[in-house]
Amino acid sequence: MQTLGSALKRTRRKNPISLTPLIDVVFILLVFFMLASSFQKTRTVELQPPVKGKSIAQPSEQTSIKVLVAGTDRYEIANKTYDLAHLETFLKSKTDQTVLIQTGQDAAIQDVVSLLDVSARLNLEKISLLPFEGENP
Amino acid sequence: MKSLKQTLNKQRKGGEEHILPLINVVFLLLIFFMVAGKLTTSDPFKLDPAKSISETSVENETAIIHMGNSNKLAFQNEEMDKATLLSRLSTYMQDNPDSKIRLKVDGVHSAGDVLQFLTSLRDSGVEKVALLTQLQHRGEQ
Repeated sequence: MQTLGSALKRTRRKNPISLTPLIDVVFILLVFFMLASSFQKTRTVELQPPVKGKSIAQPSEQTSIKVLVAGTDRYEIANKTYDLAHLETFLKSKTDQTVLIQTGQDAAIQDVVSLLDVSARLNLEKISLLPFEGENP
Repeated sequence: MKSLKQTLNKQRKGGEEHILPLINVVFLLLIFFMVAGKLTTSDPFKLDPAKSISETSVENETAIIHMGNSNKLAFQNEEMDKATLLSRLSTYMQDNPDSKIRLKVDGVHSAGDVLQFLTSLRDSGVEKVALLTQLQHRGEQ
């Protein structure tokens, strides 16, 4: 008499489990994960939204530097134009001061972020964004 | 000498064994994409955030605002106009006070527009904004 084990073995040898449906499912899962997953790493820069009007006390001119972001790689301090590298050198000696960031009409947000990067590199802690004042800041 | 038919039959029998390496590779790829990739909802419109050296990562739980070209706006991945967005945001801020709002803006977007928008966010009660950026590697411009 045949044992159950040997009967099972024989069946298994005769009809091995087909791998094709498994491969189908795995392929579908693979395609799904390839299309749906994203590898772009997003980071953040923290901003404090500016307050409209003059309700906040502005620091005096001795303790603050007003940087106007005029355009791509163009920053103005007291009507003098700097590029990013020169601005970094200029700000290196002023780390105890508050940096006020004003944006011009032609500036892109990338220029503001680059300026924030410079201040982060120089460990400038007091930075504030000034509200946009229109065509002629 | 074996006939062609016999050879073909033999190949067909051992066919599934031949695809085992393929299954192994496909499984490995599947595991890689499952582990390394992150499932995210896609943006309502195409945005290329500004590049920054900042390495602060982002908490995904807070509300997100997208700001695209020609001042297209979206709150929580739903496109809407500025007035609707600000009223929805005020409600959100009442329910979740002190929460940080994520803002995704295209890198070439006018800073003036963004600053004006930030000012109106402040009026809706937003105190902290996390501007989403892409990591810029050192030496890359």
